[in-house]
Amino acid sequence: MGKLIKLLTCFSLILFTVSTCRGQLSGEVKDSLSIPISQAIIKLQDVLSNKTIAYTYSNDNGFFKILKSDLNYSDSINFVLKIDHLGYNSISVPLVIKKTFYDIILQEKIDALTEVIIQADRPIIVKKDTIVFNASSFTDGTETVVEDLLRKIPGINISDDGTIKVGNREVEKVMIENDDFFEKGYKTLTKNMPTSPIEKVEILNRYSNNKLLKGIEESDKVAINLTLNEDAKRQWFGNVDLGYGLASQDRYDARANLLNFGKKNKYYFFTNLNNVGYDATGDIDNLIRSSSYGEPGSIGDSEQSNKLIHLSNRVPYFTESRFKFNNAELLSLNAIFNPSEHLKIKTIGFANWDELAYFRNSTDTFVANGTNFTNTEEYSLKSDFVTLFGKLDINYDLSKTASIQVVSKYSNAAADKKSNLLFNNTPTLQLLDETNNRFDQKIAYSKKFENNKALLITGRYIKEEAPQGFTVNQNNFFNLFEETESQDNISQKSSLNYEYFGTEAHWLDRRENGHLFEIKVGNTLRVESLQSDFTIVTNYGIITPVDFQNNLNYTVNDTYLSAKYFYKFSDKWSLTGTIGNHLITNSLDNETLENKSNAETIFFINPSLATSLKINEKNKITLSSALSRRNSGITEVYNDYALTGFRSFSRGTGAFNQLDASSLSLSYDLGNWSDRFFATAFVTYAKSFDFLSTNRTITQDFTLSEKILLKNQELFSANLSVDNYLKIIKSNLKAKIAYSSTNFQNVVNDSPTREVTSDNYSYGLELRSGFSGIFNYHIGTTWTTNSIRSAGFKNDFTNYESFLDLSFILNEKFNVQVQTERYFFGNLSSDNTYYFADLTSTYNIKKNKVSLSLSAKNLFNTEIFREFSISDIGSSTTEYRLLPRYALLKLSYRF
Amino acid sequence: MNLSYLYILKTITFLIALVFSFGSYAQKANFFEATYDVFYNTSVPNTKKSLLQIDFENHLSTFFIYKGTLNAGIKKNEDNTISITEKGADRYIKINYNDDSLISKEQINGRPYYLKEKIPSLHWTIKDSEIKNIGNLKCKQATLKFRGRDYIAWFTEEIPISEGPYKFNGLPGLIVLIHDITNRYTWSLTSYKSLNSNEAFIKLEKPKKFININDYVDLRYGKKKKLNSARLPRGIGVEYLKIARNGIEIEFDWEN
Repeated sequence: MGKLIKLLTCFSLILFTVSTCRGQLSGEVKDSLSIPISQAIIKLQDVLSNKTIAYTYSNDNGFFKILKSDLNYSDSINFVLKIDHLGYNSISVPLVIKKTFYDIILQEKIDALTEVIIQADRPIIVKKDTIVFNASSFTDGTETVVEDLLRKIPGINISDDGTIKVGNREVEKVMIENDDFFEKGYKTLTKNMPTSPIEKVEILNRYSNNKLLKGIEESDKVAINLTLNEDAKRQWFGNVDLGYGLASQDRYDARANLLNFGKKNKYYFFTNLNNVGYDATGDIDNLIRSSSYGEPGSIGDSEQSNKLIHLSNRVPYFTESRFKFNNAELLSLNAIFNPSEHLKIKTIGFANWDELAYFRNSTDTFVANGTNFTNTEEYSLKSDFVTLFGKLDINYDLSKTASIQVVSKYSNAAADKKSNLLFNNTPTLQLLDETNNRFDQKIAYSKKFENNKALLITGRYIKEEAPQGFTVNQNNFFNLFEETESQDNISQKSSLNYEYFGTEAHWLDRRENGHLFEIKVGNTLRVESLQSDFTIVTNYGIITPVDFQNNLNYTVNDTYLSAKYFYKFSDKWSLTGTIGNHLITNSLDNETLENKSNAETIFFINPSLATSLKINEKNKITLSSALSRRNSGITEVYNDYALTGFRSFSRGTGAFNQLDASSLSLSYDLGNWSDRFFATAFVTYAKSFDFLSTNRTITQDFTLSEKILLKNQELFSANLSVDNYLKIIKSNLKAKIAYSSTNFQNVVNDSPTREVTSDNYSYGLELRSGFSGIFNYHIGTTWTTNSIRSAGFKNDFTNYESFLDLSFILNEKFNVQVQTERYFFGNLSSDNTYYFADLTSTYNIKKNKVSLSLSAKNLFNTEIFREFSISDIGSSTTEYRLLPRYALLKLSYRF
Repeated sequence: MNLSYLYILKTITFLIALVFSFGSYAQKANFFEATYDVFYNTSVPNTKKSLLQIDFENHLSTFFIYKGTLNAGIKKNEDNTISITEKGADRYIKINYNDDSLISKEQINGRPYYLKEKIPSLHWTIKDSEIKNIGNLKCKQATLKFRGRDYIAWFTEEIPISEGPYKFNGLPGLIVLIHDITNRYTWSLTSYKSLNSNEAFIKLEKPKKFININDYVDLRYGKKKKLNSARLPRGIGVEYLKIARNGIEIEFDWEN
């Protein structure tokens, strides 16, 4: 019994302890001298989990109280009180059963009184040429695609169509982890990629495509790089646009972008199918072009093959999609792999199929040298194209300061063209078969020295073959060739092939004072052949006229040393001087002429000088001048006539020529683009001391054109554009004036060398509103006057073109844009005014996700467009057939 | 025992203690200073430098927001170029634990106002499991709802000071990073140091006149804007009758 009582007492005691322990703990914090310490942090922690269960502070008297009614301290050995105060050593006091009040004595600690700097992610970090924005600091969760994120970054300005500018400069590209497919076509990325994986946005000023040239080469480019989260999961994203014609012929426009951007590998697939005159290869143009065009270490970029025959050589000077009848299918597959930190592999490939049709009727009047006649053509052209392209770009970083890049490109383009023509009412059929095969291999080594010097060694090999087979079922040359008749078939097989070998070493040295010294040493060799076999199939056999066959090899070897110095007097004034020394060896091996080979070696210097002066924030002047000598190419050299159309022959000079020229240009900016008043003026004068003109024999049936070397061709042009923002009407008024004049000589139908002067004037006015409401307008008009003068001959005309665009942004979901144009041709007596109107309207069903748009083109259903043009030998009136009115209903879906 | 002897002993002990206490007093860091970057992701995004000075001796904590003279605020100009902004007035928030008061100097329409209120009691929720390192400091996450905005704070127990930027306080460690969930306002610790004197502390003039929180809300968000809309010419309507509040504090207790 006694035991039982003892036990019960014990039990009740425990119960009592528990009940008193539950809910409240208190105490007093003092220092070693029993002085109360206030603002000490007292935490009640679980010993096992180290979790803070409750915390409080000591008051002015050093007292504290922790209230935690729902806590059970019966197991109090599991809890500690942790007391912290700056300047004292922290202590832990284990809870003792029954004890609810604790006296705590803190020992003073001598703190190191040094400043500690926190190295943490800031929303904005400004480095030398890079501004890094922490994406999460700028987002509020309403963003869906990259464009939305970029809109929130200070300094980045995105126009309604998605063009991204930093300041006033459009960005070069938007990269992901320093990888890029799109370059200026970045909208595919920014309008589709979700924001969630993006960690940082970097604005790269003075951007260099070759990172080893950063800070060395002169650059005012700006690019954006987006970095991804560590844990960003690779996901597929993209968009699909499906458009189909409403109440019109079977018009369609479908495109899809599919992307997958991981930290290491990136994939981009693109496809487009349309018959609305849209050239889908334009969308992937940036994938095909070399991004480093004209930059250090690029050689051979301008090498390309020539064609003798162009079938659709006339196009009106307005929107291509109005007269382009097409049926295109394009598929493009691209990838970037980063197998290691040092290795980057980029593969680009596409295939494009297109069927094009083109229709025009023209009347050409010839007036010169006492002869005049008029020719009429009713012309239709159908072409089938197949283009294949592949590119492999491997970049390997040998070290932090050295890299090697190997780029291989292959393309094959084949076209089958068929033209039905009524030439002066004679039916004529033209068939052209052409292919272009190009293989391009480049290897580049870059090495950076001491942060401000770089060496680039580049090698390039290009092989391009461009054969053409051309047949016409009419012989317009029957007066030229005896024993031939007009109904004979003519044909020409031709090919222009070349191989290019280039090597170059380029040294760049950015001096401490900001000056840049560059020197280039290189050698290029272009071995080119031109072959043309012209035949006439007559009833009596095949005729191969002598003097109308070409078979020549032309070799140009250029060894050069060029030096450039960029002299920076201050931030406001700089001077650039360039001297190019060329040692050129030309050799011509003309097999149609007695197989004699001739050669020449010449040396010349091309100097140029440019200066840029920023007088103050509002006044900027750039002045440049150059003297240059140009070596002629194969199409200027070949000796015998080659067929260039169904009724024309051309030939070169049959000799080597170097053409000397000089140029001088001046540009002046007053104000800045964003100022209320802004004006730019540009004046240029070029004089060719030698130039290649033509000696033409023009008859009603055919033309023979021969290149001749003449002296003194002049070109002068001046442009002025003034922008003034009119506050009162919240609109910008722009005025443009342009003038250009060319003066040259040529020979027509055995005339003496005759002087031709061509003058062009144009004046324009535009007014564009900047209202913040739903409505905005843009109206503008341009007058253009052309005149051509020659001995006993003067021709001129004035055209007038105006537009009115209206924009209604009713709300975030719905907008309507109307574009109207009016063309007036002063020299056409009838049918001289044309109106066009297009309407587009978009309804965003779900922002950045699904939208529906209606695009109506050519609302006035203008089917023919007639244009007037003049030349030194007459005038032409040309009618083009246009795509009739259609409306496309398009569904856009982003996934 | 000889009383006088005892007295001398006591005196000596006291003197020793006094000397010691003075000695240790001279060494003890009773003052603390921290700098924060205040990042305003507003229509004109900018960064301001700010300074937190804590006086443990006098139970004061003052948070100063600089005019921008210390360094950069990044400003988006009309033409979208980036420039450094120098605008903005000196503002401060002073918490006095002695009389449970919080005084803030605010600029409303270019005029300074001194707002006096009680130290707001903040109901933090600490998430022990959410840990991240900011610089070299191990930080824990805490969340808070304060005057209409939800905040995420990261505080460090390595600096046992229950203070922070702006009006934020009461966590068991210094606040290293705090932002509202829309990321409109972010305060981020850039440096800290302990001090053993307050010589370098900014001396504040005593404000002559205070306004209370209700006056402040009226001044900041209230009546004036309604007046403007009433003065609009005929035919021009106002799309949004309720003026959007976009300051740090957008909702007040009595409004619920």
